[in-house]
Amino acid sequence: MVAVAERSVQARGEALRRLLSARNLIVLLVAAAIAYLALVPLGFLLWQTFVRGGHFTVSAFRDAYGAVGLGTMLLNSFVFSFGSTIFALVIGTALAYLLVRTDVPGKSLMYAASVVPLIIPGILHSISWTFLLDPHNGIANTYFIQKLGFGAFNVYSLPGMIFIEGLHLAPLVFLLMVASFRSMDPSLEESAIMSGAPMWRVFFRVTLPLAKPALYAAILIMVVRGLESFEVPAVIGLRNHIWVFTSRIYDALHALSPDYGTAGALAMTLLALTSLGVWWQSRLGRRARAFQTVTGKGFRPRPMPLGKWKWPAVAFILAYFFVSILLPLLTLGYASTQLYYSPPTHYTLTHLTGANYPSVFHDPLFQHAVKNSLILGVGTATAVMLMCAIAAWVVVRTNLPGRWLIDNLAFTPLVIPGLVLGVAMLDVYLRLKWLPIYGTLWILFIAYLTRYMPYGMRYAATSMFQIGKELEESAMMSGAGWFQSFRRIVLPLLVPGFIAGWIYIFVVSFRELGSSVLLYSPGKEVLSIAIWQQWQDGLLPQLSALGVMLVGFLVVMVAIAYKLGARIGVRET
Amino acid sequence: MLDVQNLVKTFAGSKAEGRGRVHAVDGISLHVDEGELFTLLGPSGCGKTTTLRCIAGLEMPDDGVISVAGRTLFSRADRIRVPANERGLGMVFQSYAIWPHMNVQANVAFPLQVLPRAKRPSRSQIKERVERVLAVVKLDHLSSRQATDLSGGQQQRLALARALVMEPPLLLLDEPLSNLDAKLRDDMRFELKRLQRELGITGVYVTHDQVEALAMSNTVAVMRDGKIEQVGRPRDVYEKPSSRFVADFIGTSNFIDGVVEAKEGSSYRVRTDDGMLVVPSDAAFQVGDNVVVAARPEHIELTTGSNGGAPNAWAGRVAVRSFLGEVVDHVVSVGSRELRARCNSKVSIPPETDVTVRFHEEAFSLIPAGE
Repeated sequence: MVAVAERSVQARGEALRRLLSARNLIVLLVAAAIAYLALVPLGFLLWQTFVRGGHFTVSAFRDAYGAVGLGTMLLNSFVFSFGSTIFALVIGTALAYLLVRTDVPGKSLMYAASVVPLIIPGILHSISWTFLLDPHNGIANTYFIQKLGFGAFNVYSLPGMIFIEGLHLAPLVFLLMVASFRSMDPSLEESAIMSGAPMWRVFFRVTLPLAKPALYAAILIMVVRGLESFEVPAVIGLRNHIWVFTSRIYDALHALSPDYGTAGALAMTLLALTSLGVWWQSRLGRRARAFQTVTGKGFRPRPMPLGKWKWPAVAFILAYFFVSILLPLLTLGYASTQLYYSPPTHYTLTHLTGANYPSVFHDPLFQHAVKNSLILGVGTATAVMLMCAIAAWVVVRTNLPGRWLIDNLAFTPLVIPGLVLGVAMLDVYLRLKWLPIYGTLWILFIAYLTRYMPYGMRYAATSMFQIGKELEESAMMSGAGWFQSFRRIVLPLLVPGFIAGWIYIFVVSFRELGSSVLLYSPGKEVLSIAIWQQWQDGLLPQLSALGVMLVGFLVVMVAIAYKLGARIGVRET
Repeated sequence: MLDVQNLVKTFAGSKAEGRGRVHAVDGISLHVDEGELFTLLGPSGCGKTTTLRCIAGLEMPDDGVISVAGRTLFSRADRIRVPANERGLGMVFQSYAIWPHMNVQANVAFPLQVLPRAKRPSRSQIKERVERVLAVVKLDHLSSRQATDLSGGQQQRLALARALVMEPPLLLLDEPLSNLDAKLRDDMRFELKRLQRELGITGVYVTHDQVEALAMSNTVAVMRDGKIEQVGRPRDVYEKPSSRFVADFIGTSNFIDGVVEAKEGSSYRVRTDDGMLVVPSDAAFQVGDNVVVAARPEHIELTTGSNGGAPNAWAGRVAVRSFLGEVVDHVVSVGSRELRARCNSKVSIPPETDVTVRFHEEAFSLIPAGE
């Protein structure tokens, strides 16, 4: 009896020791960090918008929508996001089908074009199109559209915004649809052909219906992206007062007296819309999985010969490549060689200068920006990947109660548009006086951490799934404790995914504008902010030189990622 | 050596199962002697792997006691729960679980390197022990090879070496041969058996393959729905299945329902719809009991011409014949039923031929009806 009681006391001490083990402490810390990042800004935003003087109120909404002219803004937002979605969807799906299912030449060009959103930040992309399609001196207007006898295309319009946003979103659709076409079992189509159906019938009766879940998902993702987009509405839309959610939020905070109530109410609405989109998409995803017609296996389908359609298809690809990559980059390159920007003429083309490049280096703004961007990029990428490696382990490997909560929390920021996060973070850190990080790089660091947590989680979780559970179990059976097996088995096997995710976050952190534009303070500018300021000051050649160097740097980074990718499998999305 | 008492492991059921607890392992007790290879055999979902994982410490049982060599590893009553990494058991996984980022030597050295400092052998001792165990599994010439460059059979042996390097009191094997192709599987089966017998390893072996189970084990436990249906030496389980499930799962059987009509010495006379059978059995049945006669097809003899009607010799007609190489299978219609007879390859009777179906006594086992 006594012996048993003693043993059970011992067992209880043992249990306590286990509960407080290094493993549990680390897991708890990570879970707390994720919960803080995901919940605190949202909580403050809700509080700020709905509670005034201790009472629940919707007055912020009344103010916001009373002043703004709700109808036009809503209409603009939806026309803009749906318009750019349709544009991107048509181009992206066509390219994806050509790539995966036909024998069209020039497939490597398509892959090159697909990394555009990674290497050309949205703000540079938008600015380069103002050079091209300005109604007065746009290069494409002067030398192409008007030469054909049309009137100048005014880019500062909804169609202009849709065109530019759609062009920027098309590669994303392309990648989503390539994945979908790839994972489609070719025997489904082949059996339709064997049943005697002609090619076009197979496409419409089998291929397209099978791709439907992916199409719907792509539509929802793009609509959400369109709603969140800040660069195009700010660079293109503001000039002619074509308001959408994001530009309105920005405007409310940059008026002479910042109106946090209005910004909060608009941000809440936008958040509700994007959450709806993401929720709907995940529901679709679940249903699609239930069907299991499209398996996760990779197939190598037999390419369909295009025949006489080959050359039109090639022309389409070349045109896309020219318009989406070459034209914007050439324009930026040209603008960077001028002392004062004017459209290319014989005179300007024979009077090129490299003076902008050294002068950029001497600009203190640039020096700050490079330093801050590098610090933030390296810091965010490292912190996110470490945190997510542990979180992914908890979610994928353990059966701890509440692990799904960690998963959901880590993905929550996906529904928060950058600008909304900016509004929320302002809210938090202007109030939390005991955490005085407003005006430092820390606030940007926390914002980036929040924004890129979902991507880190995706990379980490995917690689974690690829590491067989038995590899870890066999380490346990060999006598290794948690820390040993995490350090010696899990982390080394996670390295490829870890590096891929690290580079991805590092690269995308350079183009972050939405939350930075609300959270930076003088001396704490990052590169995207430097470009934004120079754009507002009209320093176009300097901005272009900076842009060209930034694109060059990102190309190198992406190239490294792809080089490693040959070995480690960098995922494109 | 290994003692398992009243082991219970439940999982949360899915929505379809009404959110109840599913009993994956439902009160299993077993005992494995030193040097014995004990096999858990059963169809997928019968709980054999869960039982093994409970012994390994990778699953936490709901109830029961597990002890190895006198050391209690798990006891619900005494609140003892030794974590997997402190149990010191060896395990070979179905997927081998070879760490792809290490070479052969590093894989095998790992269990020694992670021992607590006090028990850890010196660097040179580790090297020596790794080499010794690699020699045992005949991989010594590949010790600096990257683990992923090994063939399936070599990876299998590497996994075995890694499990053995600690010289564990008990080796757990989770369907270790199921990922190999058929030819290699045959070779590895003999290899594994030889090693186990030579090194005197005590092992628990999980498989769904009856051939493997019969060939390798000292003792077989047939599992069904989380319970052990029958335990015994392979030959006993094969020749004297205690239930219809076991007779069906191990080997092939013809099942003939009948009623006990009389006891004649050590045999029973069983009346069936298609004739009389005289079935030897140790089991105690009463006259009038409903029984099932399981008849192994390899002990059913076919001869052309019909002079059936006697007990254990029925008249029938060949329905289908299929040539399988070493043997020829015949499906014979007898009255309302079809019987399968497995004949040696010299016997080959075309369909639509009248035959006499002669049951040899060793074909039979007598099983109570209703299971």
